[in-house]
Amino acid sequence: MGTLLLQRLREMTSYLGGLALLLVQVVRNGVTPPYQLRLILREIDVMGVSSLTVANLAALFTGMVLVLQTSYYLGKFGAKSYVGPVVALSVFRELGPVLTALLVGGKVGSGITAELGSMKATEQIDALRVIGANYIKRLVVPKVAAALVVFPLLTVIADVLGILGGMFIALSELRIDSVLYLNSITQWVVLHDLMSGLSKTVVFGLIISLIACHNGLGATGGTEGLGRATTATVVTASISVIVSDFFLTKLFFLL
Amino acid sequence: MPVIELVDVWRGFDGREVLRGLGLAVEPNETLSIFGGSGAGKSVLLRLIAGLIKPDRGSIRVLGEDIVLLDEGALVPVRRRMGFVFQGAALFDSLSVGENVAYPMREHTRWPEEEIRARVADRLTTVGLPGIEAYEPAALSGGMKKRVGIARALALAPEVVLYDEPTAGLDPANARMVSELILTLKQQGGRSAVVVTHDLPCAFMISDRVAVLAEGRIAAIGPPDEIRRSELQEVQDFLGGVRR
Repeated sequence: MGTLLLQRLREMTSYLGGLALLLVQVVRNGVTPPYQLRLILREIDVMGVSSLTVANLAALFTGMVLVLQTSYYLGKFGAKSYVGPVVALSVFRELGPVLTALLVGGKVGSGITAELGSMKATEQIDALRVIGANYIKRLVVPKVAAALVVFPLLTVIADVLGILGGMFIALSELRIDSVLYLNSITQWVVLHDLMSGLSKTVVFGLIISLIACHNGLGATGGTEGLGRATTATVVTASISVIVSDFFLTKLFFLL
Repeated sequence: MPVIELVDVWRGFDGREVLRGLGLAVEPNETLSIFGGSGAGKSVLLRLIAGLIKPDRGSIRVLGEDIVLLDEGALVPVRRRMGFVFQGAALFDSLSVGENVAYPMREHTRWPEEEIRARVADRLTTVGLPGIEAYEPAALSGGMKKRVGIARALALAPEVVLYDEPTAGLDPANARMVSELILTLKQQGGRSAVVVTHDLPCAFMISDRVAVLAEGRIAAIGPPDEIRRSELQEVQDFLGGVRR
């Protein structure tokens, strides 16, 4: 039992060490020219555009269901008119960033791991190395850089759609005027609420892309190993998002 | 002076020693084939020469540089003068055939686009596949992929070419075609080659010398005729299958 625990601890330390080393390589290669702007834009297109539907649908229905749930209890205290700020705060501070990170992160992260893992299995990464190309700069940096841009952008859209979804239900189900709904939001919600959520998404994007790249580059054991690595990315990235969300929330309350 | 020289090279994986004090030298303009059983460490040897993995101990000199202590960045000038043909061709599947062959040129030179296109066309003609620049790698047969892999390895006119099982997985006609291509490239001169292979007829056809890898060391090395006559048990084990 003790040996198993020690082995798991060693594996986890080694994994975290690998992530940290990859982060150092990404930063070092990311800040030194030549900058791979064309590749970064391509990754933004691949990650962002293809994830719009997932992120938007989730945000729209989350906003709608939030209004349904909160209005019932707020109504008991005669505070139904505050449903707008409640929904906006929930979406801006937590649900927008976290749901987007979980849904898009799972999709994007597994895609990155599968891509890099299959490139490794078919020796394409070794081919880049023997050609003398810097595979971290060519493959990893553009993906991480794109994630840092895509996650906040998708979250902004998700935030807007969450608010609009809530507004639609507030109007159609609760007969709350849309102007009142929006006014109450602007009265109670400040820019810091939006920015704290968006700041989280930058960290989520970094964590998800790093985990995905690390798992892809470290995939061993052929197609079976690639499947395991892809699953591990979804699980590890999701747990990391939820855990880091707690610490980031604590941090933003201190700031 | 040898273009590649390995002295007392050791390399193990998961506690199992694959190479045990291996020594080997490849002379300029020489084509050396290395054959051995599965798991003998042939591909490991080739990857060590390319700097893709490091030895546990020993010295490896390639084109006059001791590459053991060089990091990825410092290896680039050596790799610039070296070509590597992978067993599965390892073509970049997101790029066309032309872009694959042009990749080393775009990475290391500032040649104008017209010159790159001309050189790509020349390399593809050399491997007997003219005019397929626009094809996707997925649309190629196994033999064509190998030949495009060779064209990419030749992109910058390297001084050394490393071939990892160039005929593996090919039908006899395609295997012979690839062997003949390697022989033609050898006859053109000006470069050394190391060919790791299971294919004895290919090794005897293309090589100046043949080395037999067994138990982590070079068990025999010499011209093809000498290896055929060798009475070393390891050599006879390998040759038995061919003679039968």
